[in-house]
Parts: sequence; C-alpha cells; structure tokens
Amino acid sequence: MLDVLLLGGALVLLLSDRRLTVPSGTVLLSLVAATAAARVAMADLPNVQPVSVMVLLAGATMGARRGVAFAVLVTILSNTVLGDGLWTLLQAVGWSLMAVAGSKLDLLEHGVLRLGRATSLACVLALPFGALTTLSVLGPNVGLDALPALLWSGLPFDAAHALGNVVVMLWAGPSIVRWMTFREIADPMAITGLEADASLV
Amino acid sequence: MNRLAVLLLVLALLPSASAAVNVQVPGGYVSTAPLVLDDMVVVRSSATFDGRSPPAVVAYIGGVESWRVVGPPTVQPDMADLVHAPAGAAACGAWPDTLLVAWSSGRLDALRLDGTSLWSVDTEVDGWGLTATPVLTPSFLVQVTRHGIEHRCLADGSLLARAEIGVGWRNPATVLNGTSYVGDETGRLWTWHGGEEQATSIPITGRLRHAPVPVAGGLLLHTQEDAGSAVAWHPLTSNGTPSNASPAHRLLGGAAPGMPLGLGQDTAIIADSTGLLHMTWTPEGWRTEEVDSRPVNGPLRSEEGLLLASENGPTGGFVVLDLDGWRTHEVAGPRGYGTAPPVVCGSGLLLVKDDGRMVVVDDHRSTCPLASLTPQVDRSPAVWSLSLLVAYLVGAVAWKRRGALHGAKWASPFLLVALVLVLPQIGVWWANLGPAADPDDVWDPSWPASWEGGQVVAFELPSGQVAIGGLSEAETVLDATMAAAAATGLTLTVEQHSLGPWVTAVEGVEGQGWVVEVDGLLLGVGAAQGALEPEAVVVWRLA
Repeated sequence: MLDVLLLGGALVLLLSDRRLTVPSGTVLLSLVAATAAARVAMADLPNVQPVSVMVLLAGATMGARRGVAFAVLVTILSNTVLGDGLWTLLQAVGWSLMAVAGSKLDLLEHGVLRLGRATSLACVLALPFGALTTLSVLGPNVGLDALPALLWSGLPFDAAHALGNVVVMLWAGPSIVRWMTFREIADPMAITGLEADASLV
Repeated sequence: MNRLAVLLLVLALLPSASAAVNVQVPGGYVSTAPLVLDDMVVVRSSATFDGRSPPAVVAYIGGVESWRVVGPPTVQPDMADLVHAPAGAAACGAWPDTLLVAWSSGRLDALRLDGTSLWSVDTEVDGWGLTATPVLTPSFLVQVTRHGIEHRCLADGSLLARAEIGVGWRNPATVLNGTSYVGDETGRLWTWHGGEEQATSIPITGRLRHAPVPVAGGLLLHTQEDAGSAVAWHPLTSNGTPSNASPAHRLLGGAAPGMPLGLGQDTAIIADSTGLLHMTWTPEGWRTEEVDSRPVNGPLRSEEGLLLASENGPTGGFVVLDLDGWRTHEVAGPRGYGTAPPVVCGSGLLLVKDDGRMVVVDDHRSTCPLASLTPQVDRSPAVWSLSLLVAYLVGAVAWKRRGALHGAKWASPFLLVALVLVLPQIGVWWANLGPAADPDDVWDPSWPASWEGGQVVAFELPSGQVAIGGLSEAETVLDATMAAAAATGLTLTVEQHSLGPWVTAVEGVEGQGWVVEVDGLLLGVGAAQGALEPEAVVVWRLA
C-alpha cells in the first residue's frame, strides 16, 4: 500500500511537470533502472550507496520535482529486490530531500558540476540520511529511548556511506551530470526543406 | 591510469582467491548426502552429542554460506535425506520450489529455497521422531513417521491420510502405482493403498531400514538380522500385495546392511560390511557378482554412470565405480567413518564424512556451487593496511601535482576499501563505547533467580516470550542465541550477509525483521560480532 502511494506520488510529480517530454522521460526512467541496478549490485558493500550521488545530481540537473520522482522510483525499484518495509518510506524521503538539496544548492555552474561543493554535500548529507533511516527500526517493541544508542552505533556505517559518496562523486560525478543533462534535439525527419538537411548535418 | 585505479579497487574488494574446496559443516555428524541444486548446495548435520550444537541445515550459494536453519534439539542423529520438491500444484494447493527436512525430533519442515519456512508440522515421537526420507508423488508427499505412514499436502503440510504401522527407523516408503510399501523394526512389511484404508502387513525376517527396492515385479529387502543380514525377494501379486518371500531368492549377507539400490528391471546392488554385491534376478535365484570388498553401511547412489558410496571405517574413503564394468576410480578426499555417498556436483564430486568435512574433488571447471568456497584466509589486515598506505601515497602525489580535489579523488577509493574491511571491527568497538542501559530495566522479574549471574536469552515471539538461562557461557550473541534455540526447541533461520550471519526468522516468524538487545541496548553489529560478557541478557524482538 505504501509503495503504491509512493509510486503514485512520483508519477503525479512527473506528469505534472510540463517540461517533461517523452525523450527526457525515457532518459530519466533509464537512469532510474541503472541506478537501482547499481544499488543492488553494491548491496554487499556495507552502506555504500550509489543512489545518494545520483539523486543529488538528479536534483541539480533536472530540478527538485524530477529529482524527487527519481529518488522515489529508485528506492521502490531497488527495494523490490533488497527488501521492502517501512524503511522504503524513510529512504524515499531521505533521498528525496537530497534531491531537493541538490536542486537548491547551485551544484552546477554553466552546466558544469562544481565538484568540490558537490562532493562536500554528498559527504555531509550521508549523516542526516543515516539518522532518518534509523527511525525505521523504531516500532512497538523498540522505543524512542533506544534511539541514541542506535544513532551512535550507526555512525561508522554512516561514515562508510559518506566515503562511498565521495568516491562515486569524484570519479563519476561529472560523467553522471553529462548523462543527466538531457538536451532536446529537433527531429530532422519532422522538418522539411533546408532546415532538415542542416539538422541532419 | 583511471582504469588501473578501478582495477585495483575491484581486486581489493574481491574475496580471497581460491585454493582447495574444503568446508567444515557446522554441528555434529553428517550422515546424509548433500543436496546439489542449480546454484546451491544444501547439507544437514545432526546435533552434537554434548548438546552444544543443535541439528542444522546449511545452504551454500555462490560459494558462501547463504543461510542456516537450526532444528529442534534432539540426541538422535538426523538421518533422513534432504529432498527437493520442484514447484508444482495439486488438488490441495500449489507450492514453490521447496526443501523438505525431516527432523529426528519429529518435526517435518518445508523450506523455501531461501531458507524461510513454508510450513512446519510435528509428528509423533517415540524415543525419536522422523528418520525416514520423505517421498514425493505428483499429488502429495509420503512420510513414514515413528509408527505411521502419512500422505501430506505439499502446499501446506496438511494431513491427507494416515495409517498405523509398526515402529520404524530410517525406513522410507516405496510408492508403486499409488500403493506404499514400507518395512519396520518389528519384522513386518506393510502395504497401504491410502485413504481411509488400514495398512496390511506380512512377516519378514529381521528389521527393514531402507525403502523396499522394486526388482523383477517384486520387492527386494535387505534386512538387519540378529546376526548379519539377509536378502529376501517378495513377489507382488496382481493387486499389488506382496507375497511371502521366495525361498529361491533368499541370501545371507554380512553385518550392518546398507541401503540397496535398484539398477534396472532385474538388477540391484546391495551393500554391507563385506562389500558390494551386484545381483541379477533369475527365476532360479540371484546371479551375484562381488564388485567391491570395502564396507559400505549407508545409502548407495548412481549418477552419471557411476555407482557411489561411502566406505565406512576408521580410514574409509569413497567407493566410485563405473556402472559399466565396475572399474574403480580412486578419489582423494576426507577419510574416516561415513555413510553419505558422494554426489556429482558440477564437473566434480562432492564428498562428506561423518565428521562434517565436505570436499569437492576433480571439479576442474569449478562448476560446483561450492567451488568458490575456500578456507577463508583472513588477509583483510594486510589489504586494509596496504590500502591506507596506497591512499596516502597516491593522494599525496595527486594533491601536490594537481591540488586537493585530485588528492581526495585518488585517495578516496583506497580509503573506502580500508574502511569496508575494518568496518565490522570498528562497529563493535564503537558500539561498546556507546551509552549503557539501567540493569534493573533489563531483568524480567518472572525469570528464575538461578539465571542471575549468567547469560539469559529471550525471544519475544508473537505468542509470548520464550526465555532460557543457565546455559554454558557463550562468547558471542550468535553462539548464545543458537544454544538458546537448541535448548528451547525453537527453529532459527540464519542468513549469511556481508557483515556476518543474520537471524531472519525465529520459529518461522519473519515479520519486518528481528532486532537483538544486549543488556537493554540494541546491538549495533551483527550477532556473530557481538561479544557477550559472562553475565548478559540477550533479547530478540520483532522490529
């Protein structure tokens, strides 16, 4: 039920985006699939989360609305393999907030990634993300009084998340931005005359 | 240069390189052949006689332990083969790919191939419970219990029909045209057509500890006698009822008979302490040929044109013979007492002895799912030390030549490798620095005072708390948990993750996962890494 609501929310966000075209939507969904696959593939590395860098850059390149949709879709898709539960909601919220942060904090300058700023942000945001997702452990049998110890013992794993983000951002960040910076190119077959020839060239 | 860095990173993250495939199955004796599925090897072990280790079923996938199910404790060995029931459907319902586990505690478990419980039922216990291997039919499974024979639905384990028979031990049924045949310890051969009908029986000599073998329109039995063993052949009448043994087909055999194997319409192999005898039925009697003189007291198996068995003796190896010509293949591997026959695994043979040493031999193409499982050489200290050194060197050079960002870029992958490798240790150390709970909040007043001062393990199940104390001192949370499960009769499902074994279900209950508290604080590391003080309270709760 929760997944349906999240999925519905993501679709509403996408469909209400007037700038979204079929080609850009296709690119976005392809990146969702690739990111989810990367997350599943790296699941055995403790808390190394390639999704964090992807959603941060999705927010920076596509804007908050599409970034949030991207984050939600990746979370749901990857958790169908890795395991679904209350944590799906918290992860979706956490990564959505990262996407929003990416859209607001000027990570691009003239279309080029500001690598130092983006890396710092990816590193720092791992900590609140870890704190947020830790809340999924709380429940009828685990009260708020357990939270300090949980947050404390999770810190080394948050450090792994942060360092993983640094590696992914520094090594793949600029390339990811190029993939995500989708530019609409006119279909030359739909244009008549000399302009079409010019477009084909 | 970039490619070189990525290659170094990948190599550092890879598990240790393989040498020889040699695994120690946890727990007590291994008396049954491992089960080889497409990408999985599953093996079972009995409880240890001192009760420290419960019976278990362990699955290895992709070369590493994937999950472990701990069975109810018992002092009797678990001798029923694991059975794989492919996904299917019948009138009573549908079932997924299923693993059937019959425990000597009397429990019959159906597990999904990820180790989670599909269903579980208990059968009668009289000294011990189930020792007979379940038998599959297209519509149901046939399980011989301590003194009964049952038809059960594979979808949910519900009882479809049952008949009483004599008390038995390691006596699976043979099902022919819907009729079940089974022997017992009281010298009877039982016939049951199913449904409401009672089972009927005829006398046989001795105790039958194998499934009757169909040969030449009759049933071959190799019974345990007071002295030695005897082979008998009971022709089946037109309505499927066995007649009295044919005098012309009675043979005396050696001590401790194994489980005979039918090889064709008229031929079979029997085994005992004097070796293996190939027998061909003729109307006048058996035509026999001794094909091996090594003692074999367990099941026989034929695969890939080979006859396979375990030589049972202090230095016993394995019997591997060509079915065509009985040429003997020498097989290197573990030696000692054992009854589990070798199993073809990939391009090699999977061998296991009573003591749980499991070895893959001759798997030149490394296609056995156990092939990449190696004695894990813990080289992580060397790797993380080297990673830190390389991180410093390449980071410093890159920083000096091209600035701080490049320094971070080149150093960070190697720092990540180091962190991933030391994370389990760091996690334990860090968690121990954390806040402590009030001891008064930890102790449950309903627990007996005799548990104080020792280790107590409690499971908060939906049906209520199950707790146990006064156990031997365990070093880790996982050890204490396993011992507690064994002592209380709870079934645990333990899966293997990158951070170590992970308890995913207790008594088949998975919920949204299980969390464990030690002295009132949630454990921040895996149960195997969580060190326990001699006085500690471990509580497992559903998340």
